[in-house]
Amino acid sequence: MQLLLKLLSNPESAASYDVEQWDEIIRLARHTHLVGHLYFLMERHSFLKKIPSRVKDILLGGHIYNHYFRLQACREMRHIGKQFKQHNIPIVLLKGGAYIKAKIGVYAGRRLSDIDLLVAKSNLAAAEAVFYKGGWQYGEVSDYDQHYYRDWMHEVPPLKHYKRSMEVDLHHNIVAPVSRIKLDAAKLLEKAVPIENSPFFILEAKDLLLHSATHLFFNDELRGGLRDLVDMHELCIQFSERQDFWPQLVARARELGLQRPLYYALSNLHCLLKTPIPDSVLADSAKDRPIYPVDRLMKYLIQRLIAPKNVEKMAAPISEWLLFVRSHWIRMPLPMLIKHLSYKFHYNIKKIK
Amino acid sequence: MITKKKQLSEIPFSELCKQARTKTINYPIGPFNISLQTDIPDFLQTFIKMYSSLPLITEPNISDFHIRIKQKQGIRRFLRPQSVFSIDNVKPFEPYHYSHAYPLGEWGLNWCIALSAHKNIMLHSAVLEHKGVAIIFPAKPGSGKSTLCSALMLRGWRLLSDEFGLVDPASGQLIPIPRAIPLKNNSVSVIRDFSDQAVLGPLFRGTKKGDVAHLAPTKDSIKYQNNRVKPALVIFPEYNTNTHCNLVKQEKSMAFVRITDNSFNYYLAQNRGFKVLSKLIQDCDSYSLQYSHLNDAISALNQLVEDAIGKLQQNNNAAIT
Repeated sequence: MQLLLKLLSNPESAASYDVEQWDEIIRLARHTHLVGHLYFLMERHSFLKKIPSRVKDILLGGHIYNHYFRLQACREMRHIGKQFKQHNIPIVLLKGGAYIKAKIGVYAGRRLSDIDLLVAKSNLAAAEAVFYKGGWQYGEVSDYDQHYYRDWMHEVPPLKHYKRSMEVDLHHNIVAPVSRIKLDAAKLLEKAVPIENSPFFILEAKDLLLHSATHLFFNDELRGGLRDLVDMHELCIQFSERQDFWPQLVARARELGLQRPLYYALSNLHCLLKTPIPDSVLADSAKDRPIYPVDRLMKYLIQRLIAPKNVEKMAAPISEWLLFVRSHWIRMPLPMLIKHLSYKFHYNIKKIK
Repeated sequence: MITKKKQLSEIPFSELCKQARTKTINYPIGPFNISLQTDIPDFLQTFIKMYSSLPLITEPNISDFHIRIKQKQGIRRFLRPQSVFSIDNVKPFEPYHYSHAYPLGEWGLNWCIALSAHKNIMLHSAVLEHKGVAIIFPAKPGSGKSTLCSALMLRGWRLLSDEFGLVDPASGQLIPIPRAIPLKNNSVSVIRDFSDQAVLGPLFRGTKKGDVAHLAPTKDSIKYQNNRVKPALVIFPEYNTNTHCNLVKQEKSMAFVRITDNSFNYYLAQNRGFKVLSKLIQDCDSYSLQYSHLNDAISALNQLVEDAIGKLQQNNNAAIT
């Protein structure tokens, strides 16, 4: 993985690789869904003509693929925007959708498979009604799934327009209400920035990074992996010019109760992608690290999963399982967790039968 | 000094097995370099039969796809052995029965190409070339495309592809990718009876697509796999038991709709796809071909090729005078 990390942190190094190294980079990029992103990086640094033509063809394939899904996402957002025009419901675009609409760093190379939205909890029912009226529907959702989403999660079951295939995830918070982290979503909404000529908002710069960190390290069993980390890398680079970004980032994280995911994000960005983060910010954030053995274990698990040494180590069932348990551990109190996992276990057994 | 590359068939089987198990076998198929690892000798046996004259890559190279076809480990393999396909440690399919490793490998590679090689416009079509005239045969599954394609190849036409019609957007040329042709159910015996030149692999019974046997590409098809060629004709074949051989010219508009309908990534490629395929249909004459007997279809197609050559010569003469 060192080669891919080196290329991501220093795109100019592309000139120095031999064919065997490129072969390794391509495999790693494919596994981490970063093929299209590499095309964008090479284009941005005018390296497309200097890399081997076979590499260029492979990257171009990834770029075309991403571009198509980005277009689908833009269309979906246009439809949503039209639908919400008449209603006074502020909608915050999260993650990929936000990066695209606000033309933030990573958007050119990013692949989008769904649209994530955030509304105030008090607006949730109204927003759902607008979607419903516009032709969006829930997929097949069992009673148990309904209960899981409605009572325990920070989002409603995924919505899909009956004529299209792009999934829309409607959130009322960025962490689950039953989670160990309590977060007042109103604090995010009040700082959100409107996008001109649209009913959409995006999170304020610091919150954008904090959400991505929370999503990767607390919600999602690290599923987004290196790609999410690359998002954050690009956000940091883009926002570093803003006066209030670095000086207020850690304080904002503490205000929202997201200091731990920020610590994981910054320490891994620094360590894996050599993201230019001011030393003072790293030092300040390090005060929020967990006790030493947990810190070491988390570091091992995260890097084992996000950036394994080579392709052969990319499937890591045990680390994956540990982090899966951990993500649920954070999200749910223990009795609820046992109930949920045992239900899922029985359900899967039934499916096999 | 030019050293001749070693062909697959020139390597002793035991050596090849060892190399495939402990390292990788690297080979070019059309525009792609494949790096293959497998511990299943049956797979290799069929593989060699299909691609005996394929040159191996021995120098360091960049592979488009690193695939593995391996025996599934664990206690189950003693009861019900299975083969597993993986690319870069990702396993996109459920395991197959051990003895179906070969079709699994071929389909797995199709899946890899269809999902990622979007640089080219990918048509679901056979492509063959005869006397410099290249014909695209776009068709839905079940239309008899593979059978017709096999028959033409066994009559000396050059196989560019059976599954993937690859069009290079920059030049508009067809990129050969001469892979083994999977024949299904009745087609197997039809082709076996059609020509004693047919090199067929073992029959795999009861796969997800029925009974399947693979037909090896001819040596010339492999030899000229880097020779790209402009398409001259687009023909939509349809096998129909109750029909005379019937070749009907297609309107360009209709041909365009039909060819986009038979593309893997026309929508994905957006305006690039539109530009490439509309130009292709502009430049080529299109026909729909209904047939019930292979020999009738082949004579009709040979006649079309002669006509196309005649037209070309006329144009050349006109250009000279």
